[in-house]
Amino acid sequence: MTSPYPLDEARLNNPQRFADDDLPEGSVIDCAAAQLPIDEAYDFVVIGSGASGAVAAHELTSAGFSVAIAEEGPYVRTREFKKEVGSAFLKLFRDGSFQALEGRVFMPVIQGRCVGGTTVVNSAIAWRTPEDVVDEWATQFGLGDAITMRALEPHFEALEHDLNVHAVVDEVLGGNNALFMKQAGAVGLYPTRIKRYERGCKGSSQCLTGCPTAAKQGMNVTYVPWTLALGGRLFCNYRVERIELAGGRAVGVIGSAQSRRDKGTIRLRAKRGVILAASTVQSPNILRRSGVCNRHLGQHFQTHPGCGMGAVLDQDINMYFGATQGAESIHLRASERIKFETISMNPELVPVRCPGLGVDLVRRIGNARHLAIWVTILRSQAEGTVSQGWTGRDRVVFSPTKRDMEHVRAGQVYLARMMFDAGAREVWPGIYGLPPVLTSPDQVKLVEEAPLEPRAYTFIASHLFGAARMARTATGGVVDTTFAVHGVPNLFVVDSSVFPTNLGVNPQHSIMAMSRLASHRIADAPPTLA
Amino acid sequence: MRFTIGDHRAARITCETIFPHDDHAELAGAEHLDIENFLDDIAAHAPWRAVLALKVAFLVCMVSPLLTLGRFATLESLAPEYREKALYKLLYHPNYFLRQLVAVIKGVSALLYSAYPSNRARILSAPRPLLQLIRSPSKVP
Ligand SMILES: Cc1cc2nc3c(=O)[nH]c(=O)nc-3n(C[C@H](O)[C@H](O)[C@H](O)COP(=O)(O)OP(=O)(O)OC[C@H]3O[C@@H](n4cnc5c(N)ncnc54)[C@H](O)[C@@H]3O)c2cc1C
Ligand code: SF4
Repeated sequence: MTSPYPLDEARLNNPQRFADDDLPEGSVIDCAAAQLPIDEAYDFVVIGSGASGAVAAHELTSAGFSVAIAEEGPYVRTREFKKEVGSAFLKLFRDGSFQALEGRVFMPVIQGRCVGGTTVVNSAIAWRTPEDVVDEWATQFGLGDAITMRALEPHFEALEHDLNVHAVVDEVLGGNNALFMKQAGAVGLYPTRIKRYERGCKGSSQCLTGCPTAAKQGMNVTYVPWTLALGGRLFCNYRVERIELAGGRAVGVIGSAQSRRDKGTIRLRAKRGVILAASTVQSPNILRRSGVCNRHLGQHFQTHPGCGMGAVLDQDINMYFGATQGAESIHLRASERIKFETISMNPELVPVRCPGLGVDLVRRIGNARHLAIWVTILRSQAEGTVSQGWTGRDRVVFSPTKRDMEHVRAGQVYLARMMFDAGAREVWPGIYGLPPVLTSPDQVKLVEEAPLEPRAYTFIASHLFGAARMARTATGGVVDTTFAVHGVPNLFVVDSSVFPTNLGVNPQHSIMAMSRLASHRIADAPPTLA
Repeated sequence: MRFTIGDHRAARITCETIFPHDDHAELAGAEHLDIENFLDDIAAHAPWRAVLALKVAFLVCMVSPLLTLGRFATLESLAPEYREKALYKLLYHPNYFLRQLVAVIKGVSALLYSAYPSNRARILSAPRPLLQLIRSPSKVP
């Protein structure tokens, strides 16, 4: 049988080398196999190799510092990526993708746990921080001129250059994205093709399981190998338990090896500073375990819950070809706090969206080539908390507000209408209390009147913010405007836990730009001596 | 935390009810899947809380005839059409937690079902005319 993924054959026979094929010898220490204990010293230790950590490590290494990256997950190379979602979930995702927000509604929260962090499994959408958000941070959160568009601009430009940001090209637009462009245009939503970090995307729609051709410019094939080429070192399968403080300042990190019985102790000393970039869910708890106290720590968690809708059309949509996410609209971002996006699901995830079970479910799966899936992304107003459960696990509690639910419902009404306008035979609202399948445009009014109870909807959270937010004083937040933790010299937080609010657009670009800005400030600052 | 033989058995019956064989769709049913190994793989990688949730979900599915049809019977003891009815009602049960449990099983078993080589190839293969459904599509739960 020929492989349903012709791309795989292309890859296997491809003489081209990927950036993660040829790493400098000795630059990657796999703690699952290394001789323990380890005790080494660097100028900076960066915790996390995702969007924020990889950028920070690269900038500091470029500035001439010795840098070690500590990463809890394994380094899964491009050639090792598997197309099956099940094995990718278990290998690349935190808790095998079984992590969920607690609160009124069960909401899976998806995070990468591997070298490159969530950028290995994300869709590579690049959005500059909206100006209104930066203004809000300046005026309502008192950041003033500390974080401005002018300060961020050169960092956006550099990142866009390095990661080849550009809009999806015709060749890999694909049916799902093209249909959205047409229908959203027809109802005045001013859709645009998504700008992405990619170099030669083949439209395999496999971003979620790791790009098989390294076209996606995730951190695993860009800033991490680039950092290693500049002399940085990477300790993977190494979970940092806590940051060591001495005399009130950060002097290193302590943790243990993963995936082995004898966990051992791994200590990395930091002469100039520890850079925390473990993401919004993990960073606050690392701070907590390290003895950092601040009443805002773990508070003000925000997210962008996503709620999908499926439609079956007569024509072949074939969402298995095209950029995983290739079309969007932010037209209602300001008025309704929502953004629309397309999404192509891997075959394994299609049944999750299909209603019902039994023979009808199986036949709907058989119709999957005719399926289009679009999503409403909410800039929620609700705030949650990040804490540590009694077993030591990360615990996030979050529930959308009634106002949030009104916005989500408004978004779902738009999607249902656009799908019927496109000639959908069936629309699957995925809202409990409504028929699982709508078959006539008249039924859109059922969506308009759908319950506002969050439990009636199916959400996913993948954009995470807050929980160690930035403020000028310790009474207002955890981190100051130099990204240092208030009252703890040499300890910096550079991921989106420092964001005072969520954004209403995809966060990776903002996270990287903020991290880059932070790294330049840290590199330029005079050393604080122990 | 591991799955027991009882869990394996419950998982098999539940998955075969969710994904039965259908000639029209040309998709292999769950009877072809190596559910036991798949679950053991999950138990080896996922946190114990997730494994526990799946165990509870399988148990609830097994007693679903009592919860949804008011019959003192296990799912296994019912004829296939009644099994489907019992699980369908659980999937759209007014109790949020009950319907979430079935949704979780549906999601997890889908990973195995659609990854089965012939099913994957069929899902990705050239389009065909839309398949007819059996149930009235706008059935309100
Ligand atoms: C499916 C999906 C699709 C997405 N698509 C997009 C998109 O298209 N565009 C976009 O802008 N955003 C997208 N996002 C969100 C975006 O990827 C994340 O917001 C971003 O990667 C977060 O960056 P980060 O550095 O904070 O965390 P991560 O990128 O998650 O990196 C954190 C790293 O820290 C490591 N770590 C955690 N704790 C420890 C510890 N104790 N010791 C050592 N290491 C530790 C983790 O293993 C991880 O590798 C998506 C997210 C998901 C889940
Ligand atoms: S859609 Fe493009 S970027 Fe995403 S995995 Fe496929 S080739 Fe890579």
